[in-house]
Amino acid sequence: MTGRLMWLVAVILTLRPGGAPGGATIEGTWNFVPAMSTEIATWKGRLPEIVIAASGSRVSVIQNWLERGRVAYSDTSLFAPGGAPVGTVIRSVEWPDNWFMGVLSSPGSERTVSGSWQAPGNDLRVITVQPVVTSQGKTTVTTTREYVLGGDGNSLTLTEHRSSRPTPVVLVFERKEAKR
Amino acid sequence: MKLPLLLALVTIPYIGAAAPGPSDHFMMSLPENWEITGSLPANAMLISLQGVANIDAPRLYFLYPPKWDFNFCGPLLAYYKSSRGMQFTELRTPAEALDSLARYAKGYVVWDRHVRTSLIVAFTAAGINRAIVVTDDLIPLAESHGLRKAEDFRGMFEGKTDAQIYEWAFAKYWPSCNHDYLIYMGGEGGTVMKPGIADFGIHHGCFFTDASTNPKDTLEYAFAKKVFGAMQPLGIVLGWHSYAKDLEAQQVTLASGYGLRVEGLHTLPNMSFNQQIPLTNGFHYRNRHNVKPGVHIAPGKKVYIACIQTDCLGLGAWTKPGRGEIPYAWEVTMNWSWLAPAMLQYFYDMATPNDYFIGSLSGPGYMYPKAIPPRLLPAVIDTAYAMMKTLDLNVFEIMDHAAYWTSDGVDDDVPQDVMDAYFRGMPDVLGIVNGYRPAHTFAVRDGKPFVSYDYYLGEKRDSAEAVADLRELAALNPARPYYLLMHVRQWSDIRRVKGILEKLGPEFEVVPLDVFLSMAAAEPTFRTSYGAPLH
Repeated sequence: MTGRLMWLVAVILTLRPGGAPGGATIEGTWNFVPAMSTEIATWKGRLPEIVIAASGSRVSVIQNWLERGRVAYSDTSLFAPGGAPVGTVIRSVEWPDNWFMGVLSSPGSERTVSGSWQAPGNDLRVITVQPVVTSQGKTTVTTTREYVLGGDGNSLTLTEHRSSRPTPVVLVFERKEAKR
Repeated sequence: MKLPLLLALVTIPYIGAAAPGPSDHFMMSLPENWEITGSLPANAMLISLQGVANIDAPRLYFLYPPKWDFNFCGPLLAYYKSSRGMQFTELRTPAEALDSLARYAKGYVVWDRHVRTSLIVAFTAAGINRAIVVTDDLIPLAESHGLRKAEDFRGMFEGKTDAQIYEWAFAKYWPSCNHDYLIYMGGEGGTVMKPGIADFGIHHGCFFTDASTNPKDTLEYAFAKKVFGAMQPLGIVLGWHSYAKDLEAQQVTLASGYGLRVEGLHTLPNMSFNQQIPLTNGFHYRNRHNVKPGVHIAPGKKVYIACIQTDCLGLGAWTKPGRGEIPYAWEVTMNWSWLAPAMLQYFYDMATPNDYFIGSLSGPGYMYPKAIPPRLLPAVIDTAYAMMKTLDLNVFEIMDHAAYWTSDGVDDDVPQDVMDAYFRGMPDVLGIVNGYRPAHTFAVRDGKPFVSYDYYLGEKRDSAEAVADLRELAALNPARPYYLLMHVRQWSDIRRVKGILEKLGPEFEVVPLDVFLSMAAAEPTFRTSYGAPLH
């Protein structure tokens, strides 16, 4: 599965030498495409949705977890690309990325988010440093998320590297408006 | 039945009714179709016939179809033949079944195929009247075998809600029903019903329902509370909640609140037969222990994994390829020791040295400790512990989803006082394990560890991702030894699990659960942590 996904990523990258058609950018709402993605293990079969917006010098990346189409959990990262890491206090005990594992978030602790454009308007890198709690206690996970806009402007590939995980998690999305 | 007598049943070996002669055992294969418009009417009639025909001896046994939840009917039948010398005459049609066994019925109850719930009420009426259940098209067949109408529900329940129907049935039948057992005829909804447990309910004259235990279904919820409240303490709710109405966690929480134990599923087969097959002479339940009492095992600097298959013996992997190839712990459905002793003996007799049994689940049956009233918890633990002694079990398992639908998925933990109650009531256990999903309660009490699941291996989890999950857990828990307790869903066959574990590398070692707990007691590396009380 991972090999196929990497192949897909390579194809998408190959097809976009001149950027997305019509000036499309990474901004927008993105729906998850499970069949093209790494199998994820989320509570109650929740599926991710991503909302990316740029306003002035700041970018927000909202990862919603949808349960029967309703937002059951939402995680917002707000930062200035190229700027200093932004600290926020963790409020939920949930660690939504993988509920098969005995990992919790750490409410009251601070996490930091930073990001940078890899290709302005198209490709974004977001780095999160977050404390988590496991059976042996608290530890820190650094997650690097690469958001890459597809050549057609309607697909988005998120490659997620966690410092603790040996293999990346590759999630493919399609632009919400493109469903029409 | 009063509590002392119920407790006595737990501790006194079941003697069983006098077995009939070889020619009196019958077996029959049931088809896959359980639709109201398909084979359900005939299947329901046959299962009700089983309930009355087995009234005083084990006469009728069914082979359920391949997709049935419980997949041991064939192997268990073979075991009965080989271990007990039982011989069976095969019945091929409903008419043949009635030819051989209708004489044990006193009549028939007609259910209304336009009102599905009427079948659930008909099962109750069948137990009270010692009758079989039929749809109108089966009446001639029943009458041709000398049976007369006992009840007729055609048209009676049209336009009525399930709450109204169950209230009517409760008023009419409850005073005559068994108050130790309640049958939850849930599971599939709509046009399908799989009433595998109905024979047992009819046999014992039980009340049947599938009333919703979702508080939002106010009328059915109120009814469920009424019937739970009318049962004997530590009574048993056999069957399962309705997939169409409520959640497993809601039903078990509500039942636990009345000190009742749930014994799944609605598809549990042949219990009116199995309950009457005694243990073989001189048999004692013997577990496959790997740790000698008082001997501590020193761990190395490794990641130790112990696998537990949950969700009841007989569901899933026991009969699938690979059993015995790696150490595996199995939840024992402890009430089978007196509900179906020979059936449980089958599992003990078939166990390999790598199959290790543990007591479950939170009590003498499926319960949620946070929902059990504190005044009842000691009796619950005592009863479970007595069964563990009988079954040679020295590890117990707790699961609690009493806040499942309100906690957003982080509720598998137990508070300190609950954990301490179990250790107090089970002084000789080697350890206690906890959870279903990954949980976060860890402690050591008097040298005995309380360890929660750190990983849930779903049956559909991509194998490569499962390997990455386990390696990631090992990275997130850097101290060695690291104790990684893994819950394997019952539908994962062991060969698949073995394939995943073999990819982990030499730092990982799969060990028997009792060895795992012994090492965890000797050198715990987990952080002491407790859950919060139920609000």
